[in-house]
Amino acid sequence: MAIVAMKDITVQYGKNIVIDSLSLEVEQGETLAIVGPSSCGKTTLMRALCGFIKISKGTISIKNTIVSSPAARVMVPPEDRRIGVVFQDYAVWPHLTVIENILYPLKKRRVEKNEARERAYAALAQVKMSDFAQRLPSQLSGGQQQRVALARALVSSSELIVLDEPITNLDAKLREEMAYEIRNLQQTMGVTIIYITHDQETAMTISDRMIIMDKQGRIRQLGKPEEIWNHPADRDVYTFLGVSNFLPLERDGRNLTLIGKHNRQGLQGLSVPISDAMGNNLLLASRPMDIRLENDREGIQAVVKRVTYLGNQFDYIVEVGGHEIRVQEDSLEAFRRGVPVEGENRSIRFLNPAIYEE
Amino acid sequence: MKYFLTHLFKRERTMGDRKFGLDQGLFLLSLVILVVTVLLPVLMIVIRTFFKGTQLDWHLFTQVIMAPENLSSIINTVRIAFFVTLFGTILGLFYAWLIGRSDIPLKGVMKALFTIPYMFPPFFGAMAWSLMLAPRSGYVNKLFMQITGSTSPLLNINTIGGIVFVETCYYFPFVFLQVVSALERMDPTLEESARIAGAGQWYVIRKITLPLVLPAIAAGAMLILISSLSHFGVPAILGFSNNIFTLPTKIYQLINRSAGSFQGIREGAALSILLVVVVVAALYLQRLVLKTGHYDIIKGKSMRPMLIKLRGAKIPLLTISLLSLVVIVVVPLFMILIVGFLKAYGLPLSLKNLTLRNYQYILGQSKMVRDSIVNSLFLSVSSGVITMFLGVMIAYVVIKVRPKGKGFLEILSLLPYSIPGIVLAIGVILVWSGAFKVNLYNTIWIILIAYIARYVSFAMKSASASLEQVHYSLEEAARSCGATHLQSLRDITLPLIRPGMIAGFFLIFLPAMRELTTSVLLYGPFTRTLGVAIYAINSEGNTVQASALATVAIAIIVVGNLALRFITKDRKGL
Amino acid sequence: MSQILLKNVTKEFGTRSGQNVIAVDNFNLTVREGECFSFLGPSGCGKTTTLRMIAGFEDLSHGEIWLGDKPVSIKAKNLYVPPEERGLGMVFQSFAVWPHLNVFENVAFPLRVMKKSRDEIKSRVRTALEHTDLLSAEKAFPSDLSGGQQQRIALARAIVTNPRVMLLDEPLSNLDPKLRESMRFEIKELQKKFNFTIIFVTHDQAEAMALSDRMLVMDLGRIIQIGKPSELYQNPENKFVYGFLGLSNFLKVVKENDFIYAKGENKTPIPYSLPEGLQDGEGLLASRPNEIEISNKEGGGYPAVIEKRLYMTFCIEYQVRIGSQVIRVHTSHSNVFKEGSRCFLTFKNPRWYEKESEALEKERTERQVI
Repeated sequence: MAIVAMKDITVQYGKNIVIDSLSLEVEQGETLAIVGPSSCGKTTLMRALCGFIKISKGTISIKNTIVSSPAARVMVPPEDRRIGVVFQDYAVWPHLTVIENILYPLKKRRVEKNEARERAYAALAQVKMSDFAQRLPSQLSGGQQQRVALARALVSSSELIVLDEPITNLDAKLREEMAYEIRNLQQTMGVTIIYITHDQETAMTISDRMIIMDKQGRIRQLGKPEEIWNHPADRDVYTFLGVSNFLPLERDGRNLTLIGKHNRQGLQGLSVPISDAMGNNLLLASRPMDIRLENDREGIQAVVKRVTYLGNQFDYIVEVGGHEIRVQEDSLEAFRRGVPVEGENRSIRFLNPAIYEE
Repeated sequence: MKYFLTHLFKRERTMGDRKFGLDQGLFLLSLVILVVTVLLPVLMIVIRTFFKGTQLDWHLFTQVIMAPENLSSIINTVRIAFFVTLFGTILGLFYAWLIGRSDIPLKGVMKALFTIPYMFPPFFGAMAWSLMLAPRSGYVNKLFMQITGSTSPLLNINTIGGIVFVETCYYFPFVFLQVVSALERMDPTLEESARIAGAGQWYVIRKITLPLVLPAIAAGAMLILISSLSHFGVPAILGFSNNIFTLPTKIYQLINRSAGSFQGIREGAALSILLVVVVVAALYLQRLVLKTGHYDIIKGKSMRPMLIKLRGAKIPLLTISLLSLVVIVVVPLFMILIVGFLKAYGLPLSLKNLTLRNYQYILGQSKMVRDSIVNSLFLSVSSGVITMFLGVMIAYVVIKVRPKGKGFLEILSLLPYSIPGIVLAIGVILVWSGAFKVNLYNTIWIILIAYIARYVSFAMKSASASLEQVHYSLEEAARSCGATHLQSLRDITLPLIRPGMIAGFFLIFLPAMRELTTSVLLYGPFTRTLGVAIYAINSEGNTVQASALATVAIAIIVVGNLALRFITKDRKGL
Repeated sequence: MSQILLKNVTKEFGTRSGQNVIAVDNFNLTVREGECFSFLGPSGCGKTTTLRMIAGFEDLSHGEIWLGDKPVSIKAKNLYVPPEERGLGMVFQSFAVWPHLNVFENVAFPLRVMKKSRDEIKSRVRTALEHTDLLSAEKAFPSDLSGGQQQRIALARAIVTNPRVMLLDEPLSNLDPKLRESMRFEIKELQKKFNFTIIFVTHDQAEAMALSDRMLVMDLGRIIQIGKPSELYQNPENKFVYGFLGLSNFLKVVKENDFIYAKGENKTPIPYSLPEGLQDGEGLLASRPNEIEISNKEGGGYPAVIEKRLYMTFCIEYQVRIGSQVIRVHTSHSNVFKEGSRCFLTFKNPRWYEKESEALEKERTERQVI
């Protein structure tokens, strides 16, 4: 069952259209990540869903009840939407203790005192903060405050929780821990989670489905993380997902030629999915880790321009036909096979390339 | 940081529920109150000066401006303000640098002591220095003339120089505090990178530090300038006996002389406009100076700045600082205290001449004094409370509701900041003396209205600072937890700004208790304020009683400041 | 000829609570001319304090610092040369570009202090701006420029006097990741052109390893290890260095007689050739997630259970349970194993380390706040 349904929603400020006719459904019990670059509209989407801003067109429904609809003049205020929210800056109230923070939503919903205390302490235990019940937020670290915010959201709604870039401000180690905890919580409690972020790595790790948004507020791709990673819809999504290399190609029937700055090289034996529907000016997309440098004279010839040792891997800048691409290799492997030297000639194998139109 | 700012100023539509809800009501209320208390007085001054009935009439204005005695008071006002600003800035800058950038000892003590003049009204200083350096009767002069046998005094305080000296003593903390704060917040690597680039300590100060604290210096200097231009007390106490007038005192004289007649008030209004013009010109000058600003100097990491080693100069500078502190702070307070215990002014300062009679009189027998204390307490507390709530309401509308008219609202609330107290008093008289069928002249209510208008700027600034710290996500979090708009204001916003509001209350209560400039034009036979009472008793020549009452006022101010310090230390949360 | 020499350098200071902290403890180092040398360590380890002592912003509590053949700080003789006379170039984390001067004037500042002629200033500044790609922004003010451009102003200003030594204090940590990478190499290029010595302070190990000819790792005021990046990565001295230089697993193990097994687990031996002279007892087996082979073939290695499978962009991460402990394994996307199933691990490059006392970690956190 779709717990949230957005139909053709548009959010507009004066002439500025932030979200343009966007439709989206969130399934009950899933973790959906909404990913995109900063100011692409994902936070606006979340705020429209929560009722903090009005939409200009379209409808938003939660559990089949319309909550936002300019046409029907419906605008259910935030306090009646029953969505638990975790804000980017935690928004933990500094004048209340940890347990008071978590009790607040229960007070507002007029839950009976004893039951409220039970539920609050249970939520606190779930985020592993039971020892901190009487502390003030100023006595907690960023990560701890984030957990309090999470507990508060869990208590606010047992059905739908929205997290807005909840872990971006934490350091790398803590980020990972919190990401796992969020995933765990979701799996044990069965709550639906909408996760907003620009960090596609984390999104991929914890979500069941992902949405990639672009700077114009449109959805570019929707699907399981693995699907999106393995088959990015277009070159922009490909680029957004991680470090990418693009080389210009020309097609003639089934033959592909690499267009170098001074020469051309034929690409034989390259297993790429090309449909006849594609035009003749194409791009070869590849990831640094999916390129191997070999010592033979077969395949595409390239020159190693720069070798950087990063500890667990080597990072190479390689020039192919005048274009510079990045290649990465596991350092153990590199030492075993022989680390390239700057200026050396090598040949390239593309292990998992993709083709896009120019 | 960037995230915080983009969200604060994003032009977002907020959760306005109904068409005419709480937020819109607050906006309208703020607008009405500000127009009535602030805008109307200003308009009335302009109208009454330039219009006779409905006809434009330049005659009165030019007549008043050109009168030679008024002309000389204009010149005096500008001269005094200029020198006070000059010396006050130099003094403030010197000490700010000494405390903020050198390794001089006793910094904490000195910093605390340098802010004392800030607490007291300058006219107390005028009284104290008059006790010492009045040409004939001042103790120091008398001693000097006794010892040397000369007939002329050592120093005459009843001169322009005397006025400049006293005002400088009380206004230099404006620059001192601004610059010390800027120095403390400045990123030390800005100076370190200059050192590494080869520049010696003094080169760095000249080319890097000074230019970067220029906005702070300018802000402080502007405060000094405006305060001096608008000030009544010191020129009144020191200048009247020598026929030295400044615009504020001249305005007072005009109105007093005409015994409150309409003509007199019109003339006073005309002079007020001139005063406002000078103040506005000064504000404009400041904007020009600061316009070329690229001044983001606030640091992130908390690193200690490199202190300049004074070495040999340490002891001499320390001595100078402590001496000047004694002269500026300790001596005047001591004089007032002692004279308050004297049997009569002029008697030598020995134990046998001390008595408690003065205190008995002012606190026990004088109804006028008792009334004035009660009046001032009433006025300070009520204006403090009212303006604080007003300030919060306006700040809330400007910062959180952000309606289309917010710019206008902001300007109105900050307008009184640049209107001298005397001018505001005249405007208030013009509005509330029957012009609109309400006559509050000579009642305590007219003073209250003037105070509200006068202090709403402070309250607005203080409330804005508090409110801005309450990030909108804190309120939204409450909404998503099930709180209505009103509930989130009550449960979240209000508790978080409460400490700031209390501090803000005291920031109004304290100046209001000792206020003179505005109430001196508005008081009636039964509505004297404490400041007016002290001034009146002093003007009548009852020096010892005036000193005793001033000491009482000082006690109240000190207690109030201690309470403020105690409260601001105990801030929970933000 | 050595360019920078630190001999027994120590820095102590008292904290607000009255304690005495030894921020830098008996630091000895020789940096050779033309080297790019990094100080790597966590926040609070003393690396920035050491750099500031070399620059002259902090005085030593003990020891000597020499630049070339000139001593700049000798505590015993009370010798202290102020920063402006040390002839160094420095780039700060906060850029420290002066907001009230435009780009040209910022870069010209050091030359104006030296009272150079107008023509010389013009030509030298222009050259520095050319090298840092700022010529077109000559008349702009720093507040109009991006973070990366401001950092280049700082670089240009530092190189305009042709210093022999450049000090860089976390110069790239305020830039976004992409820019950080490209600026790293710009700095390296500048070094090649001008041939100065660089001391580079950072907490980012990738940065240190990418840039340095040699580097050191610092912890709690002391140098733990010095050497070439590859030496440090392949032979970390202790658990701290190992953990700091990259993603790590530390499996608690117990040595008994001639083999080791995971603590809290049945005594299945882990295939690992023990270093000589090791005592029986507890220790840690360190391994990198990408240096563990995982397979589901019986007998294919040390048995474990797959607890979680996490999809990451460049690999799949398996969280693998060994008894009561969990370690991480990174493998390619083609290896798909189910959660809950048995797996078999081969440690390709494990190392044995002594356990670290808990007090050390606590001290590290405290140092971060001082």
